[in-house]
Amino acid sequence: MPLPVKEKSVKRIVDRTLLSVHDRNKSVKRLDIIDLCWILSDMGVELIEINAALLKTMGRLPAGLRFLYRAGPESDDGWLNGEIRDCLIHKDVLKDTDRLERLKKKNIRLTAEFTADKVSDLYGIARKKNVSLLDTVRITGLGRFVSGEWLQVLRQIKEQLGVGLDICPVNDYSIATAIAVEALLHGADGVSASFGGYGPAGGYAALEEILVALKVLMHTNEKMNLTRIPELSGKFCRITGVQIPGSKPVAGKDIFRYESGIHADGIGKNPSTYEPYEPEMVGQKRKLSIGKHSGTKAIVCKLAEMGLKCTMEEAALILKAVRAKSARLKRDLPEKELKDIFDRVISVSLTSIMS
Amino acid sequence: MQVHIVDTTLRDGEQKAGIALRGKDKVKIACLLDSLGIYQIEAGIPAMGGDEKKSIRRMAELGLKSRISAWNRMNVDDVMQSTDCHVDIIHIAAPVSDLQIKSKLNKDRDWVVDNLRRCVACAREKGFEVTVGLEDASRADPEFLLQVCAAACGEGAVRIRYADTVGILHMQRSFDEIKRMKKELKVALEIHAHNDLGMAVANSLAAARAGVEFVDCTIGGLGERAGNCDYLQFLHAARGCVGMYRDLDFRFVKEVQDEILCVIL
Repeated sequence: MPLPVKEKSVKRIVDRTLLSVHDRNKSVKRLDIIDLCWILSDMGVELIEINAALLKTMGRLPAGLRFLYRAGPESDDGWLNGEIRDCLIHKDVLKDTDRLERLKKKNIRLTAEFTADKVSDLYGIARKKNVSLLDTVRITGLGRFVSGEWLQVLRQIKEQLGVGLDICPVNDYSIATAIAVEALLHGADGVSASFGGYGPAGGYAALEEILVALKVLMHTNEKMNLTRIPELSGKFCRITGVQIPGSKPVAGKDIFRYESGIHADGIGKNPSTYEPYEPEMVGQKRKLSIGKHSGTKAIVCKLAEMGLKCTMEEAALILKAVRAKSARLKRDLPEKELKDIFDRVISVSLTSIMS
Repeated sequence: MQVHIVDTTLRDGEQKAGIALRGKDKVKIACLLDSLGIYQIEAGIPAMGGDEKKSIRRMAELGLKSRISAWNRMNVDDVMQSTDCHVDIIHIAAPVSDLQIKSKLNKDRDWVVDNLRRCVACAREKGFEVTVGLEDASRADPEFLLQVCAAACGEGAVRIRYADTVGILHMQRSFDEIKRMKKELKVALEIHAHNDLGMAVANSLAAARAGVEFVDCTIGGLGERAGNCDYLQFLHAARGCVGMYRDLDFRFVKEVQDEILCVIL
């Protein structure tokens, strides 16, 4: 049953991965950064957040990509003469009307960042001086926002100010993705997130989870190439040394491995019975494992994949041996071990026929 | 707000491809879960027979404070295997989305309702407490969900599990679905959330805020595909966001979690 979609406009996705990576490791190579930029853009990221240090590392920015520059003091506004057209300012800069007007004269699109750790923090945003000069308000914090009350305040801010709303929840309580998704469903114009939620303290909402939610739950942002997630994951792991767990939602290498007989049966008949989206959408393939929880049908299916045939009675005997070995070794069995069991069972079967 | 935890590490967690536990591992984990004060341990699937069934029977005989439950497909043969194990609770999972009913079972809604009634009655006749799971509830017709619940409760089921089998709920929807069911039904509710989009903890918390009395978790979030609601993350989120578990010794929970994960991995 499809979910009702409240907002179907294209959402603005801002990436914070590069900023977080570079903040932790200033010796990241320029070419690696540029590579990541292109993959992120292909995946549907509209803006890549950078700061002065990252800009210095990157040197010349790749043409055709958009960057959200995290502005520091005005004395560092040398970046204004370059290709950057989007700027993120701290909320305190809103007091400096002259600087804001200089930025606007240069046709810079302005985003200001506010932090909200409780719902009452949101109410003050619309009353801040010069907030109407902004193109976008980014709200970060939000790590405990579980009730529906804040979503109504979000809508009020949007209606009062007529600005775009960018939500950047922190993941202190493992719910940042859910907070971001809820905001998008209730009128937020975009989200700032990072791959795997990588970032300081608890991290951010996971970019790959947001992108899949946009596709699967909201049916928006059609031009996203999520098949590049494994590539992004590989580069990210190499650059940061951080391993993505095998069961990580969307990006984990094991999320489309299945073994249990009930699931194998369902997936064999129609993969949608147990998959919210096809593995190919995120650059993966499903893989049938054989182990303690397999059923006879899965045994037959796997053997068929290996070019082997057996009767259902033989499959039952093979399954018994598979389960015993799998539990003893506390793992699933690779094809070679399955083949060994198959050979033993078939040979016993042939011997009893001949005798 | 108060919820009981149903731990399904030994069932859904063990279903994760590549995980295989020996009988003695399951017994050891059950004792460790009991030390955490877990309300209910979903011990496994007796219909698998062999060592799986034996280990469930052993867990049921341990005399733990945690209640031991057995998971069943919606068929009488499965249920009978569970009755052999003398568990405290028999759980019967009923596919409720048209997708699963048609594709997986090649049946129709009426068949599901009739068959569920038969299975629940069978377990109740043998004197067991029965809970019923709505498999793939988040992709099911809400009206049909209520019809299935009425049938289950009519035969004596005492609790209904709402299963977000493919992890597509979001917080507000999780909250609204449970609120609606709470309004229409007079039975205890349970949430079983999968983590395909990284929202299992949030959805479980939303369901708890809406009034579910039971939340399904696994140690380390282990489970099919991207797993289930991670137990420790749920406790942490519940404390931080809604003030539950203020007196809980999180360091002890972490120690026990790590010990369980050592047994499993």
